[in-house]
Amino acid sequence: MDNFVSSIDNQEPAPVLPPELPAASPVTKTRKGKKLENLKELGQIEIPPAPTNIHCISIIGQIEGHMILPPQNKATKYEHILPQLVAIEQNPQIEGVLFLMNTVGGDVEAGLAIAEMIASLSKPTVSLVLGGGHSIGLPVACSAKYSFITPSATMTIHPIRLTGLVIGVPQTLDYLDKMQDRVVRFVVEHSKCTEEKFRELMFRMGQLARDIGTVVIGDDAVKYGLIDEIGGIYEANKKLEQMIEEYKKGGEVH
Amino acid sequence: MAYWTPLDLEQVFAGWDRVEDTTVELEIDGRLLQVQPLGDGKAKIIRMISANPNDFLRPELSPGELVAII
Repeated sequence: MDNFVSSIDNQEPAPVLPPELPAASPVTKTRKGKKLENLKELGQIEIPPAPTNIHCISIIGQIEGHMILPPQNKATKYEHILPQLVAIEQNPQIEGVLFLMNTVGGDVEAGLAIAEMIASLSKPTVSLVLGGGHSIGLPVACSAKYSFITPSATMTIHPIRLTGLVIGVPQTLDYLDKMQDRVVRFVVEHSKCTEEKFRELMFRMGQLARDIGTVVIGDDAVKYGLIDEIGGIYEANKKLEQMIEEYKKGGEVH
Repeated sequence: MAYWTPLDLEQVFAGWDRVEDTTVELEIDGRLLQVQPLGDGKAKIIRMISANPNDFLRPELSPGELVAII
């Protein structure tokens, strides 16, 4: 990974700091200092970095939308993820992307933006749902070319909510319906789940204490066709490597 | 704004009215960063504004990372 980052650095022109701006530099420690610190603080020695051809992105916590979330939230920031995906598409050293998902959902627009970007990447992509991939996390998980879920991971499927002042009730209902349709359409297009089944899961009664909807656990997500396969990091990595091989040969990526 | 999460919105947005924007803009190697000064010569990156997508692959420039303000 270090090699990879330094090779990106090498491509860049020499940094030019305008004189009137405050000089600043990232807080970095020397390699030797970091090694010693790791040994002292964690009882670990530094593992020599191995070159990798995949890029790993964690989709964690809340998916932040147009409003900055209060600091007690862990958040996935779309303004960082989106250009990162642009760089991934362009960078010839990155041959595949692995998405590690543990998210409680969040903003619909931001989630769909990330999902559409992932779905339109030309490179092999694999998502792995660990812990949870709730609500808007579901389209993000489906957007990868192949998806895995661990047996204990869960996904909550429930209707979308709207925040803010409601002025016209019929118009608001109509708007909410349209927002929901966007998500349903995306999931249906990018997974093996049918629209009828997805809507049935979304509006099922008696499963959630304070909402309608369903909690789908590992096996069930595969059974309903939302996720492709049950697996962990071994399966996800193996699949991604296999897809990279196929991609290099110029074949279709499945 | 449509929010889709099993969490209560009260939980997600708790403390939103107490959040103060104390961020400042800083330029590092030609990249504009919005940072939050932490008071001891360090600042936390909130976001980066850059037209070079490769900047977003650099872990040391991702949100939450620390930079030294001299």
